[in-house]
Amino acid sequence: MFIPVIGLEVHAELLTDSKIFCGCSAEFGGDHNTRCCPGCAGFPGTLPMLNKRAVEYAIRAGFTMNCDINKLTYWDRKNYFYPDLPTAYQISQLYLPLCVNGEVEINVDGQNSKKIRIHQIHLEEDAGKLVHDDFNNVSLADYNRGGIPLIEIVTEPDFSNAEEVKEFIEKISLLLQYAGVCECKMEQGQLRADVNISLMRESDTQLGTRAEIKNLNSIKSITRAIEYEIQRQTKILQSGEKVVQETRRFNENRGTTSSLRSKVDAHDYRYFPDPDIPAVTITQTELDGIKAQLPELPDARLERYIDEYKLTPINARILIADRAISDFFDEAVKSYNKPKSISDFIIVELLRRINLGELDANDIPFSAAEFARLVQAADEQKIAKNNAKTTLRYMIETGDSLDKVAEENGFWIKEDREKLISTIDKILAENENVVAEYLAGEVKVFGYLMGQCTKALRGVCTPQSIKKELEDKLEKLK
Amino acid sequence: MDITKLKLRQIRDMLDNKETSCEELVNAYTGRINDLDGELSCFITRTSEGALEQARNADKSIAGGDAAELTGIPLAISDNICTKGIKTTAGGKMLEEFIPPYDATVISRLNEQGAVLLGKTNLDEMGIDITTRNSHFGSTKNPFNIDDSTIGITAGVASGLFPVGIGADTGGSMLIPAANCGVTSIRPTYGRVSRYGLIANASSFDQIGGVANDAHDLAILLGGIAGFDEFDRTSSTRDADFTAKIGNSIKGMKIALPKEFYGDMVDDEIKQAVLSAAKQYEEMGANLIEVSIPSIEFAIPAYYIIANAEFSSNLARYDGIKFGYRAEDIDSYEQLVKRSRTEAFGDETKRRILLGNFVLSSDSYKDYFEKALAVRQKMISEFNDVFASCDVILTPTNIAISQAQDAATNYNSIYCTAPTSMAMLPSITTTCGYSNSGMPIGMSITGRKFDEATIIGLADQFERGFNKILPALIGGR
Repeated sequence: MFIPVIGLEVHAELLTDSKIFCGCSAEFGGDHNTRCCPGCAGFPGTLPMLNKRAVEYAIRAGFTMNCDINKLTYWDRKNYFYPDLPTAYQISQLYLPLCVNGEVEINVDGQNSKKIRIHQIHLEEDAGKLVHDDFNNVSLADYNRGGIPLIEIVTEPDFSNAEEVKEFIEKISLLLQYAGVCECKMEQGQLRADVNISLMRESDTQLGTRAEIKNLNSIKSITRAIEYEIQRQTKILQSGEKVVQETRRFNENRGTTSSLRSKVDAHDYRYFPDPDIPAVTITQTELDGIKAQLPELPDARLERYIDEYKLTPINARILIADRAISDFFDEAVKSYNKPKSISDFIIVELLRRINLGELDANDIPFSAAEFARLVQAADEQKIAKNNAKTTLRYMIETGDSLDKVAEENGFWIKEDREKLISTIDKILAENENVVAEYLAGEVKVFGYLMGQCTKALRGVCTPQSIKKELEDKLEKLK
Repeated sequence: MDITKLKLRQIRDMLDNKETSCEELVNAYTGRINDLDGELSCFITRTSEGALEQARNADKSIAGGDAAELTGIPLAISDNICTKGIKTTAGGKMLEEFIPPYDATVISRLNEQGAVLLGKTNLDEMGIDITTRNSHFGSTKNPFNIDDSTIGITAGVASGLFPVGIGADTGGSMLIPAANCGVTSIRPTYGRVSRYGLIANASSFDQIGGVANDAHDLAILLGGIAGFDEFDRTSSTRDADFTAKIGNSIKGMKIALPKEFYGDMVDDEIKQAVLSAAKQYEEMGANLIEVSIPSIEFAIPAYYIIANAEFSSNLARYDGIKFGYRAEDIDSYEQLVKRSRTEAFGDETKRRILLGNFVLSSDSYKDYFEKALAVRQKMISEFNDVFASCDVILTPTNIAISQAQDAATNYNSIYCTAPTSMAMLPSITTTCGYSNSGMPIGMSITGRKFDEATIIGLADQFERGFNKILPALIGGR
């Protein structure tokens, strides 16, 4: 009876080497207050120096979400006191954000697609972190994270349920990874979301009063918080009461949300243009240059894998789910044009090793071309299927080349016809009784003979040629 | 050695010709500071020992034939400019014990050239006024009238405690005291000198400049500190030769006299002195052109709206957590911030923070802040119109001979200097006469953006024919 109306504000940390307004390292972690300087600690007299790379990354993100890029943009100060914010204002964008009017297509119920409109993407700085020491009853500020560039992706209230939100978060994570601007590791806080929810009746023409749930940092929390909040608001409306406009926080342990501050206590951020940062103008040539750096995006790849390579949609989706894997796949197909074989070997063998934590998709110790050669060798039975799997495992474990591993372990099948014939003759001679049984019509003993031959001829011939020769010999004996 | 009237150029010659050593000079200035500063209170922090060491190094450089323009020049710095390892208070209790771990860019540039720092001078808290009545460290006396207060950097040059000084101007906080002390001061074009390390008052107005005995000295001083700085992205990459027009004829030069600066707001004695200086320019061959800049009418309210807005935001970082004053016996974050700020900021600072927060609040942003920005744009375009047909603008520097004591009148005191700061234009003030009471009167020459050379040349032409009177304090000792 009530339709949930949900909008998101997603914060994503950008992968720049240095912070947005100073030269400090933007890397995650580090000992407390080792990655900060007078600038990002807000000391008197210091000034922000805008990181050009951060602007480029934000524009890249905008392109992946089909945004218009404002060629003239500037930064505003968002003023509020909090001990993790050294200057007591966050440099952000309100009046003329970098990217506007975008859209992202998501899959709903596995089949249909839905367009989520992006209101804006703006570029801002992250705040530091508070470290609470309950034992000594003090809170300390760590400014390592302060000044790491963030983009805030603001959607229109286009979502109707938690499932769509989950799809969206997964989709934009993928887009940002493809754009090379954010790794989207939610457990490291690289992606965080605020969710706005209100309910309305089908007959309503205006949106209901919304609550905002702040700072959700896993897809699970987002889903649970939304589901709880829908229940909570439904109960309120059903009992004839009104939802209060407020900011709420999600309690991970209880799975509930609770009020953080009401509208009356809401901050007045007193935004105004930051006089320390000159407005930035971006030329069309620069925009074209940034666009040219973008790789083929996941949707286009998916289509190509299904249409051109005839992969199943499920497999195609698995491949594009990680840009490094998808890139690896495309490279491998370039040297061995059997997409299905490559895809199968990646999905069954390589991804298994990656999921086991034996290697990192971004740091595969061999080239895609070498991997393709292994797949081809297996296809053409130059290496037995099982041995091909073992070869891959050894290549991962030792970092040795395909040739070295296959050579040292005798995995190469040499197709020695002379030895094939002499070995089969020898085995047939040693198993006269079995041969006789076979000739008498007991065909199932073929398997036993084949087994003996394969064992003796491992690495000498392919099972196919062994089988063919054995069949020929037995035929002649009839 | 009588150092009282020494100019930077004379010191340069004396040092280069080995007529004196830098060490000797520093001892002489230190002695004079010892004699007079008890009465004047120009300094918040003196750096005598560091100065001697710098002086000896400078003497070595000079002896090695390795001297730059400012090598061995003793000077003072206004205490809102950060000096590494040396207390930088910005005139307030909040930063009373603040020792910056970095140098402002102007300080780095001075150090590279081997200039000698005698100390850090008094100013109103965060540079918000022209009188030091709002300094936590007491007020500095004007050597022309010790009942009148002024700021350290101008009183010091006027009294011969140092030959040149570096400070900052926002809406007139250096130009007006310079006029009152009978010295020359320049606020260059916004962006000409890096603001990195200048403790911010109002960021879109703050500009570092200098104080000296004459315009030619200022040109040399400015040459030593100006130029692009990657740490201040609002700084300009334009090159400049500030002495380029010194000694040039001013024949045919078009000097604009905007009538708004010659109305009821300005004291008659001041108007007469400035107009008589204009007459002298005319006699030297310049053309005087009466013009109008109507938006000046709204300059003061617009200036305070924007400046206080920026001020309130710039001062939010003083929360008692990372640096500066921290209240004791507190039991919550809110209390820490509230009490630290309440106890450390002065009344005028608090008033401006409140006003700034008010004009930025969502209820008044459109009615105040946006309108003030519009006035600023209008004023910029009106100034541009004037510069389409004129080379410079000549105005009084101050509206009154003596500084008014109440805040309301005081806000009007920057009537002549705030508009040019709003338009980010370069202005120089030099003495053009004296009142019947014996107080100096200053005139301001404002030029096109980045055309400091013209206003310096023009001020220099006037100074050549002008007889300066020394303050009683100096004459008497």
